[in-house]
Amino acid sequence: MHNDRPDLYICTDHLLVYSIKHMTPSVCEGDMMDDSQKHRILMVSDFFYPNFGGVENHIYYLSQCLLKLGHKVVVATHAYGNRSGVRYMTGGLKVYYIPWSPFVMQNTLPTFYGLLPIIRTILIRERITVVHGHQAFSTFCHEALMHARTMGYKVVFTDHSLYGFADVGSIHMNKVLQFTLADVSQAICVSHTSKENTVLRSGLPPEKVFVVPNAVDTAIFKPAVDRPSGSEIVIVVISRLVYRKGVDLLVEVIPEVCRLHPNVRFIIGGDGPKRVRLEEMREKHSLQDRVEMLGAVQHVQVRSVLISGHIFLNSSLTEAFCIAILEAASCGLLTVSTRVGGVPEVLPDEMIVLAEPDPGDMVHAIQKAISMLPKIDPQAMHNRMRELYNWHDVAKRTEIVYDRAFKCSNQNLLERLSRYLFCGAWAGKLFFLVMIVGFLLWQLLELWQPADDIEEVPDFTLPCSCDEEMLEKNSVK
Amino acid sequence: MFCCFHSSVQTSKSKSQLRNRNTNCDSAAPHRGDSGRDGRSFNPPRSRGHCRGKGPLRSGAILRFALASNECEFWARVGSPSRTVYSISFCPKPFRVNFVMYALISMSKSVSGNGCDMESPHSQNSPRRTLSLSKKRRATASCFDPDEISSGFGLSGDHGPKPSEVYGFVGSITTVVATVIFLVWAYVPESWLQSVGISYYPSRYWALAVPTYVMVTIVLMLGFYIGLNFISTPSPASLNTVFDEFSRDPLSLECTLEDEKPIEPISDIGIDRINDIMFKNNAA
Repeated sequence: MHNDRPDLYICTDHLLVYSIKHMTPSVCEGDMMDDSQKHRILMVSDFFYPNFGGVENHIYYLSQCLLKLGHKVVVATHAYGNRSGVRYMTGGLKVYYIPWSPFVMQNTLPTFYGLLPIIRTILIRERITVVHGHQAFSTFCHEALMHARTMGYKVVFTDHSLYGFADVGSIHMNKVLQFTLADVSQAICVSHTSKENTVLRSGLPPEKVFVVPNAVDTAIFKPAVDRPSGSEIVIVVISRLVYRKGVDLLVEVIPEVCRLHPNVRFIIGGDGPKRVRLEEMREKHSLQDRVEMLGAVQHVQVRSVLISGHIFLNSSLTEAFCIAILEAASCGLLTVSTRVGGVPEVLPDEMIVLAEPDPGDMVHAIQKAISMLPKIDPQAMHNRMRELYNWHDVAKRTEIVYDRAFKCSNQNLLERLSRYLFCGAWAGKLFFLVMIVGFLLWQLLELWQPADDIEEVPDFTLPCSCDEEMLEKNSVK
Repeated sequence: MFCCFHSSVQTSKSKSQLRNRNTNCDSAAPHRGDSGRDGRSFNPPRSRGHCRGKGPLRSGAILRFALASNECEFWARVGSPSRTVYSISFCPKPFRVNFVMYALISMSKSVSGNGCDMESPHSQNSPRRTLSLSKKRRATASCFDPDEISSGFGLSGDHGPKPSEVYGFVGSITTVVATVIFLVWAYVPESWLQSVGISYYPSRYWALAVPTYVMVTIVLMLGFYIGLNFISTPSPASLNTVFDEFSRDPLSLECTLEDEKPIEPISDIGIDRINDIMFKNNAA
């Protein structure tokens, strides 16, 4: 230690020493990864439990399957109310609820460098090798990816949504995405339509983007042993009642279908700002006995709602993928959906009836589905879904993406900065400046709190008898 | 800055033309800000649901012969020239002029369209109502437009490009124009402006003051935000670091002998168990 002290007064030598020190562990890590192929993954997003949605479920199920494959998974998200700090969840999944207040729609305020110290601490404490960001409009995710690339980590990004190209929000969001993904190692999209959308928006080379679809836990979503019989036909709708889920289409479609088919009944699950419109529609057309509204449905209750129906109706206006129709098909329901985004890629033609997002066409599709209903075998549909969509298969494909990311060569700062310059005539220079300042701040943190002084978390594995102990505890309760 | 927005405009223009597939992607982005709110308030959500599925380059509707006072007909007539202007890529000025005109018309149209939500009997002349499917509205539609029923409901998507895209495009052009005007006002000498004939403009002081105010506001906002986050951090001895209202106990697994086992539902493992696993094994 005495020999290191004179170097503190010579900045150039100090930076060189730190860069040499930084390169050595990455080489060792590379060797370790080539031998064992076990990754240590940090999932970052603004969206995780206790919030509910497709991104949250995706992160949770993917993490569970990666843990079963032997990798270590840590999730970082912002605090949700009183849920702040570190939690250990099912399967030993460690979740950092960083006390960072959400600003709008569960997104944190973009601060450029505010998250750098704590992200750096987490990456060093957990000895992370891959940072996996989720969702294009998660500011937490973008900041974490930016800082991880500054520190030289491998970065993978998963895009879960489709965006436009010409409205004001999309123009700004696409520029941010171009900045964040300029230096990403690999990207994942949930459908081919989503891949096309992301490549056009961010300017990523298409060979860097993989298509790994969402999946469904077919063991949970099983058909009913005895199907609801009788002359009544039940159509189930489960989604958040917001604009982009097409609730305004439902307001037009449901009265018309109820008029044309007196034996049709609707079950609507979900809550949101558009629920009032559905209530008004029910009042206006006197459909209280034929349109049942359940309110918010917890994910554990979704199956019991689905198996009480024959047809699942999805009226989204934009979808990169649609997990809800996977769950419905796994329960043996025939699906009627709008032909938007990646929805036509999800199911085979005999399981789904597609319609344009137009009330008349949707009514025709529902009529066609009602005529197809006698030929549907729920158990055969469930077995087909088990082969097509499985979270373990998604985890294996994601593992391939991680291995591909590790085969990418490491790049120094100059090569990365030249890539940011290509983002635009003026935006490129701004991005260049942001990355330079980020690099300098990271070096300052290395001086202030060296990586060697940060304590690493000991590794552990949940014993196999954990399930039995949990059973004993619950039996005692 | 000028080249940046110009390239952004070109990028968005070329990308929108490349969108051949029916990828309707106007999800509610949090960064949309005021324009998203304005777009949502001015346009009735019912009609927006109709128009989402159609691309801007889809062929126009068949123009119907009706009274000139019919608002729907006026809408269709005005919509067609803006669609034909898409193909004239070498003449940008009429393109912008037509789009500004179209934006104004769509705003006035959507204001009258808000009357649909009030459901008053006096709004029977609204064009949105003729696209409705309900029985009561179909009766009123048959009185005014007998041809509407025979053509089906495919007309709902033939009203030209989406208003949010028009706002985005006009916003980009307006930003470029405003930037040029600002730079001219801030940097061109006063004698040059007077020689051209511009003798009245705001004081140059604001060319320095307003950007400085904005930058200081942003820096202070970030500082306050980070400070608020530090204030809201629970203390290490707080109960909320290990337990909260969202904590779930592990559910007892059903002992089924089926071949596929479901992924366990989300739950918390208590800190006491984690401590036993991490440190008792090390001690042993």
